Amino acid sequence: MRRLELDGVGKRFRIDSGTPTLMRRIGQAAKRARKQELWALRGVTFGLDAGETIGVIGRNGAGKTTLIRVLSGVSAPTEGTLRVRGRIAPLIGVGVGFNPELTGRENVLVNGQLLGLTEKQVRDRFDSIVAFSEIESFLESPVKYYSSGMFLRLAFAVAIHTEPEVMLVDEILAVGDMGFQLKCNDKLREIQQSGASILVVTHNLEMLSRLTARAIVMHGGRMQVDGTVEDAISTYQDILQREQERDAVAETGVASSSKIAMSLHDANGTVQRHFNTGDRVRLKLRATLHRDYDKLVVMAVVQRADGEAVSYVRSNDIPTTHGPDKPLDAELDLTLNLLSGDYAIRAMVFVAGQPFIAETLPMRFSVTNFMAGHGGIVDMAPTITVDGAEMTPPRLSRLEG
Amino acid sequence: MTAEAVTSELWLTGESTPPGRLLRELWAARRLAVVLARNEYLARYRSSLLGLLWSLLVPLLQTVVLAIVFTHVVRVAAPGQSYALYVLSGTAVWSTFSSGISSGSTAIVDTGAIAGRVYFPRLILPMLAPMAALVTGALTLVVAVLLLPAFPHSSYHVQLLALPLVVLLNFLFTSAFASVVALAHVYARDVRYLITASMLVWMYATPIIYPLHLAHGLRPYIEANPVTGIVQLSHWCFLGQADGLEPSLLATGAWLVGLLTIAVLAYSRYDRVACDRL
Repeated sequence: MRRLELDGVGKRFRIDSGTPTLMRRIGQAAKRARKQELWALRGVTFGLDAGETIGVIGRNGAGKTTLIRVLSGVSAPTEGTLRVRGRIAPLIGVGVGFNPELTGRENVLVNGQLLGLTEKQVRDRFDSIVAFSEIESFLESPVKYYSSGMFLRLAFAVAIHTEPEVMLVDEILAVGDMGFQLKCNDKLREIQQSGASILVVTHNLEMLSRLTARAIVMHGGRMQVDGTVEDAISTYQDILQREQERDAVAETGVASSSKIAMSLHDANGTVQRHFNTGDRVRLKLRATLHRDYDKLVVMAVVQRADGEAVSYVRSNDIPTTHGPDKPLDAELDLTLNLLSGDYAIRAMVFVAGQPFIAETLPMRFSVTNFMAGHGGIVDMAPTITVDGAEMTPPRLSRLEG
Repeated sequence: MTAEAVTSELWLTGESTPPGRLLRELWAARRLAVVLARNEYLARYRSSLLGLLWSLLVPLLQTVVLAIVFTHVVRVAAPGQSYALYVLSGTAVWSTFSSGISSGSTAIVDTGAIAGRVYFPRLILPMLAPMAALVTGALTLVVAVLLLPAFPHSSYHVQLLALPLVVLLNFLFTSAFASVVALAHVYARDVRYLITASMLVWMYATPIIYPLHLAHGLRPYIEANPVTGIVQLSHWCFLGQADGLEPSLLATGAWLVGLLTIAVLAYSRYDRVACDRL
């Protein structure tokens, strides 16, 4: 049985910068202003059968989130037809409607009903939800006194117990500690075996290949591939590679014909844009110069998404001469002691005390941190001891299955 | 699960929802609406010492203040009527209306965290605050009925039986108005301030602290005010008579039909895209 059927689904957004106000609306109407349009999805056509699992991959802004929102019914498609047969549980709905003033018990009842269960169904599953969340003793306390881990565990427990016919999973399996993650993975597999259809949006290609054999690649709102996970991953990596070549080549400064090409690799030498905290990465760059230079310096800057520099590193003066016939090849190995977030790296070459000869545009990458209770930018490798007992949340190098 | 019949089906072509389907979806979401409204209510009063009593104390306190000011300072009292009871019966309606509007008219934007992640008819969102206000409003009226013998020139009479009609009419009008405004608020955020400012003026355009006959030349405008009909109906219930009840009730009815029509049409167009902008 077809659970999901999408036929030429497109979603258009009108770009409207700033807060919409009455005055602006009137102004726009008076000027008959044409707003810019953006198709976040276009021509998306695929089907998903009962018991089938499909992965959706794509870089940020490829339309994955919009696809999930359209499928969950939150946002209607502008064109095309969408059919969902059966109850759909968006795991993006984890913790929806949780009210900090209400107790865990009360919140489970509301949240379960928001996710499409009847009150009786929630009550029937209540014990199982509570057992799964491991927060029995706090059920009667207001949720505002919960730790963030407890909160997520409870919320996730409700979502996973809705026993939907279609489940939408959006990169949330990094909830809680390792034990809990294992439990979630088991539960997900159980749901899979019970005949539900699952659509997983993820950056984690490893997890994807464990869950399913079929995947879609989204790029610029369109489907690039609907095929095997291997096909999808190779297409996805091609997209990243192409983009990187486009992003990485930039010209600046005095020497407009000098440029730097760069690429970011993981420990295995594969081109990557998504890393885990503590990963060792290699930045490879090649500077092609328009004339000969001596004593060049190569430098890389890691910055936050907002442009604030997190760290920079520069070489010594390089004694050999580089020029049009001899490009400069450099490799910078770095340990990403960064916590979850979006970052960018850029590189430049120059001669000490002079303007940059060439500089790249920032190349974006993301980092995922698998340690509960540690946030911010920098991994401080914390150890917490209370009354002599170690209370540090467990630390995972990556999500284990 | 495989053998189970399909519990629900979603079939979307285009952004709009036909009015009939919108109303069916709204009906199907009635239990969820009650759950969410109860939640809002519980959460609001849970952490305060007097809890629910606060919602009753406010209109009573307002009545006492107004009764003192207007009987002893300004003297607008009508002969043979209890001015205090007049104020209380009007205030009970107005405070229900205004508390329903104040959070109902911004409900879609304010609950974006919920509405942006799971679908249910958005039309229930602006109705939650009016539903919560309905409970306190009804309780205030019950308290007013219990206090009735304490007011001068007042006694129990048959018109009091029409009080449920006041509650119902108030709820319908508050919901219809909040729904239309809440949707407009998604597309123009300063509607929030416009409403706050209008509520201030609106209260004085409603015969709550003054009797309608004192309005003189402004009277036709005040009778055209949709809240006047509800307030006058409340006056009629408590005082046994109300000046110009029929024309103002007629105006309320016309407003109600107009607003409900606008609400259904607007939501059938925007219900499934309203949360795109949050």
